[in-house]
Amino acid sequence: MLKNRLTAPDRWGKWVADRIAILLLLGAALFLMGWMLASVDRLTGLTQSKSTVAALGQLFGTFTTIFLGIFIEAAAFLLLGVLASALIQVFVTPERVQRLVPKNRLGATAVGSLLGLIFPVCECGSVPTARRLMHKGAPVPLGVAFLLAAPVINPVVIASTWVAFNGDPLIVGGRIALTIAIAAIIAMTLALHPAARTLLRRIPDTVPSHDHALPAQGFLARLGSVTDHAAAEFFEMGQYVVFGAMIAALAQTFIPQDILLAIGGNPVASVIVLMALAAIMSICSTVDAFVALGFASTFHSGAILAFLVFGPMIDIKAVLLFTTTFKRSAVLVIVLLATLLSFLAATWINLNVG
Amino acid sequence: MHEHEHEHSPDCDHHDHAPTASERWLPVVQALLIGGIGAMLLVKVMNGTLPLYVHVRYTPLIAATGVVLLLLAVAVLVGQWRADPQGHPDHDHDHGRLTWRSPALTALLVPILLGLMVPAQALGSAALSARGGVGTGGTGMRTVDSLADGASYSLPDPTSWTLLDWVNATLYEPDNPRVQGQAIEVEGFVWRDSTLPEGQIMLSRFVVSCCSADGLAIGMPVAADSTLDLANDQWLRVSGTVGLQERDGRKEAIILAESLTPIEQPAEPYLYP
Repeated sequence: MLKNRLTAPDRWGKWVADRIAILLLLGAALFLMGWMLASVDRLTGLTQSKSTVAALGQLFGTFTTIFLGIFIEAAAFLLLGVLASALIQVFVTPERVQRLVPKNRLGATAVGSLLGLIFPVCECGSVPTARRLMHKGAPVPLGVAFLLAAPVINPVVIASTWVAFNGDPLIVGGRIALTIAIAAIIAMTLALHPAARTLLRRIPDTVPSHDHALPAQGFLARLGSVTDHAAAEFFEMGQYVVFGAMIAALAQTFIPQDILLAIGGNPVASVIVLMALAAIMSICSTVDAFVALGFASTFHSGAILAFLVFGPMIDIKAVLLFTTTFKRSAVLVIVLLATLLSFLAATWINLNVG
Repeated sequence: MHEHEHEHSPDCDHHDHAPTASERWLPVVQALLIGGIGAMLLVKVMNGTLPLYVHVRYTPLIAATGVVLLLLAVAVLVGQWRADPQGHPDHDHDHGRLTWRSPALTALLVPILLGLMVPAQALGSAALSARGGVGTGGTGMRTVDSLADGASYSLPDPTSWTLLDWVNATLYEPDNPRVQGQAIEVEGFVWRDSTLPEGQIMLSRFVVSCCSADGLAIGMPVAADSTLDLANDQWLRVSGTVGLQERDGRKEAIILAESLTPIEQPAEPYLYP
């Protein structure tokens, strides 16, 4: 089936996505420039040195430290993800994937939501794995549910949340339940698309010498194929980790968090603030519970939950990584739905549960 | 099926081009960049600056990542060298193939350059300022409240407590007689917090759970005669006793310093919760 034209909804999604991205980038750039000027000002006042250059140097050093912190951490887990993906590509046949996974949407969604329990990956690792599974024939809802749920629904993250919050049932249970619910709703929504597979992007083939139809024979040849795939995928996805880490480090260096945190008491605004903070900070889901703990004394439980549920699904580098897997219209649907559902659920909890 | 659908994107017209001579070098550049990232990670591990970026428990993982990336780079180079340059009939699949214009080339150069060229700098006063430490006397001071829940009050020997242990132990009940008047010796860096009374500095440290992006600043005010000429980010060993003061209507424990010794920044400047 050759399909060179976008369908009308796709074109619309693309049009909106293009404009929104440009507007958001422009706004963010203006905002950052303002804060940069303010930060330099504060820092020169602070160090009692009149040198703007010295202040800029210190800010650049801070930016570098935060950028490398995110990048180094993410590179390790991205590498694990692309190795898993390359092993699947070379050693698992599409027939086996198709035999093992349920065909119907509900079953595929359920399996996808819980697959992280045996396939523990965080957000950097889940994207290559989910993409590979879908291209091997796993249903789209399975891939989407896995992509969104696996960073939370895995033993490491559940344990660290439990430890950080002392087994608080509202936070630990709420995080698990809300993540599964939101991932499942988004997966089912995308599954409603009459040709869900057209939402996927092709995997760019940066590996020159191999053939999809006939997998390499012999163990050494297969191993070579694994390294080629892993290298190509690390390269392709690594660039989005770099961009995401750069934006996050810029925001962290120049946007004073106390201004955001001062809004902690309001049941609606606090949710928005912690969701924004989660997207900006781009921290790994295995430790975000400890960071959220830091907000627990000033923020309502709903806002904390929003941070813990929304953050692992949507942050700057994760959204950039999504664009390697889905067409822009599908990424837009995922981001909008995740934002809306997290916000509504968290606000409801703030207002009704406390 | 999807493997044969072509995306409608501007670079579709490259689709059927055979790789040009210069494009045959791209896999080599790609391998060099991947190897470069691996090398950068290993350099950080070897020269001991990795703890400025990620929690020390990840050091073995990062070292392994560096080694695997180097091996990947070598494998790609070897594969490239052995591959028959004419043997690529599979042009249906080269959509999205790397070109010299790919942003990935520049993007992956960034961490290598920043990692190897920029002198390693621990989170310090500049990061504290970005986190709004100036205005409120430290967001971290407030945020660490809750860490106190999980921290143990029964550490065996208060003389071995870190700044974080002391902050945890004094945050809820700064006037608890069990801590007031206790001898204290801790290390930290100077943060000239403008909300403190004249002559005091904030002795601060960053608490990192995973990587530098999640660092929280904590601190205790230090009262001493000789704090006036101390610059931000100067590391100190402070010994004295625990005292009490009221600031903005809130009681807080402070360090009544008997001696301030300038020290080198520790090899592991962050504390771990």
